Amino acid sequence: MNVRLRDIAHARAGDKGNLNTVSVIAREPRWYPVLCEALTTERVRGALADRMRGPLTVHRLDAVHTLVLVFARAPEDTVTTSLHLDTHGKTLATVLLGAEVPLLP
Amino acid sequence: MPSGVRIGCGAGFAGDRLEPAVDLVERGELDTLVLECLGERTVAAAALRARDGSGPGYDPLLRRRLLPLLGPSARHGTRIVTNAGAADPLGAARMAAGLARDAGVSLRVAAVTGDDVLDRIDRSAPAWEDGLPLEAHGELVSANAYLGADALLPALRGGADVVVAGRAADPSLFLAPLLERLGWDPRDEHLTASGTLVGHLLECAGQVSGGYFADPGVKDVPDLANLGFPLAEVGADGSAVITKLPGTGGRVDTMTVAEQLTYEVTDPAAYLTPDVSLDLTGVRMSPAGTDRVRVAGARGRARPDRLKASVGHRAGFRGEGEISYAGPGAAERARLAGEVAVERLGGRVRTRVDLIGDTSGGSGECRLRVAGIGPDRAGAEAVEEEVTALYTCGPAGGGGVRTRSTEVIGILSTTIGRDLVEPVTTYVGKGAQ
Repeated sequence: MNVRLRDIAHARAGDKGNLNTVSVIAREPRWYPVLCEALTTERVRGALADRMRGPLTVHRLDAVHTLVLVFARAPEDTVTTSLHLDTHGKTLATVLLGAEVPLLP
Repeated sequence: MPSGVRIGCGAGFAGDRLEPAVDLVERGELDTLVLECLGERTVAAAALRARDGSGPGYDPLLRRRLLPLLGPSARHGTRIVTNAGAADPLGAARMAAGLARDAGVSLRVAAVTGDDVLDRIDRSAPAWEDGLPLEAHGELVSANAYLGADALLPALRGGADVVVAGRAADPSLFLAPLLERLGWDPRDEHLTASGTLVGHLLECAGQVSGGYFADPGVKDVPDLANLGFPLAEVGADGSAVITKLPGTGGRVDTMTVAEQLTYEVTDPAAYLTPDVSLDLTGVRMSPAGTDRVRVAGARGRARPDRLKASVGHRAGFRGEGEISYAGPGAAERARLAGEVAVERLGGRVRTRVDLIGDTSGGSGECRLRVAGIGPDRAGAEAVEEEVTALYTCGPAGGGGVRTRSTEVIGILSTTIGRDLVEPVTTYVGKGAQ
C-alpha cells in the first residue's frame, strides 16, 4: 500500500552553492521507519529529476525523526546563475512531498 | 554573571519585515537583538555597488531598519548586533551613529571590519563548487571571510550598544553576545555548540516561529500576516527555550523548530562555523508551554583550522522574457512561441523554456518564460528582444510581455588561513571618545 509523502511527513529545502538539502520530518514517530526505508536515490530522483544530479546522501537524525537529504545540482544551477524560476531550489521540498511511498509490509 | 540571557532575531534576511524587530525590543526584555541581513550574493552585490558608486556598500534597508529601533534599544538597554554592514561596515556604523545623534539617544556604535580578503585570497585555490581554480572564473569582484564570534567579542566587551559587521557567520552573531554576557569560555566546545545551535535556530527569524511553514489544511499557522519573530531564553548551562512574544502571529512548536534545525545543513554531524564544528545528531526538542520549545543536546568539536570565504565573480548576463496565451490551444501556442524564440537566439545564450499555468491542453492561461545566460549583455538583451517580438511575429493572441536582464554575479566558496584574516574594531561617532 502506498501513501503520499505529504500525509506522513513535512519538509523544508535549503541550498548551499550547488548543493540542495531537503529535510524530511516524520509527522509521527511511527512514520520515521517508513521514511528511512522509502527515501531511496531512485525515488527521490524520480520526484526531483529536473534539478537533482549525482547520488543522494541521506543523514539520519533519529532523535527528531528527521532525514536530511543532500544532493548536487548541475554546476551552473546555483542560486545566482540558475535559469530556473526558483533559483534556490526551495520548492523542491514540496515537490518531493507529492511522491508516493510504500508503507512497510 | 546572569543566570540567563534573552536574545532575539529581528531580521533573517536583507528583505525581511521591519516592524517585528521593534516589537521584540519594546516587549521582549532582550539583552541583544540580532539583525541578520546578509546572504552570499548580497555581500558581492554590495561590493559592486560600493565600487561603481551606485549605492551604499552597506544594506540599503539598514537605515529604515534602525530608525525605529535605536530609541527603544537605548530605552530598554538592548544591544543590536548585525552583519548589515555588508561591504562597508564603517559606513554603516557612521550612518547608525548619525541616526542615534539625530534621535538624541546615546549609543556606542562599533564597526567590525577585516572580512574583506579580496587582496589576499589564493586565486589558484580550487572552488568548492566545481574544483576549478578561482581565477578560472573570470574577474573576481569580492572575497569575504566568515568572521566568527571572536571577531565580535572585542566590541561587545568594549561596551558597544550597536555592533555592525560585514561577513560574520550568521550563528556567530548570536554566539558572541552569549559568550560575552554569560561569561562562557570560547574554548568550551559544549557551550560554544549550544550557543551556535541557538544562533542557527534563530538566524532566519520568522522561519522558526511559523514563517515558511504554513500549508493550509495540513500545517496551519495562526495570524500569519502578523508573524512574530523569535527569541531564545538561554541558560548559563547552554540550555535554551525558543519562543516568541505573546499576541503575535505564528507558532513555535516541535514541528517548526524541527524544520529549522536542519535548514541548509549539509552534514548534521559536522555543521561548520568559524567557532565550532556543531553536531546536531543528538539534539532533542521538548514542548515547554504555549509557543515554547526547549532544545538541548548540541555537541561541539574543535573549530575548523581555516575560515570559509565567499568569492563573488562576474558570471555573465541573464535575460528573461515572459508572454501569456489563453483559451483553447494556449499551451501549444506558448510552446511554439518558445521554439521560435530559442531558434532565433541560435545558441547565442544558454536557454531554458518554462511553460507556467495550464499546460494540460485545457482552456486556461499558459505563460511562456524564456531565460538565457551568456557572457555579454547583448546576449541577455537579445532574450528580451525576441520575447517582445512575439507580440506581432509569434503565435496568435500573446499578451502581457514582461522582460528584464541583469548582470550575474556568481558565488564560489574557498578557505583562507586564519592568520590572513585580521578583524578590526572601530568605534564611531559620539561613542568613539
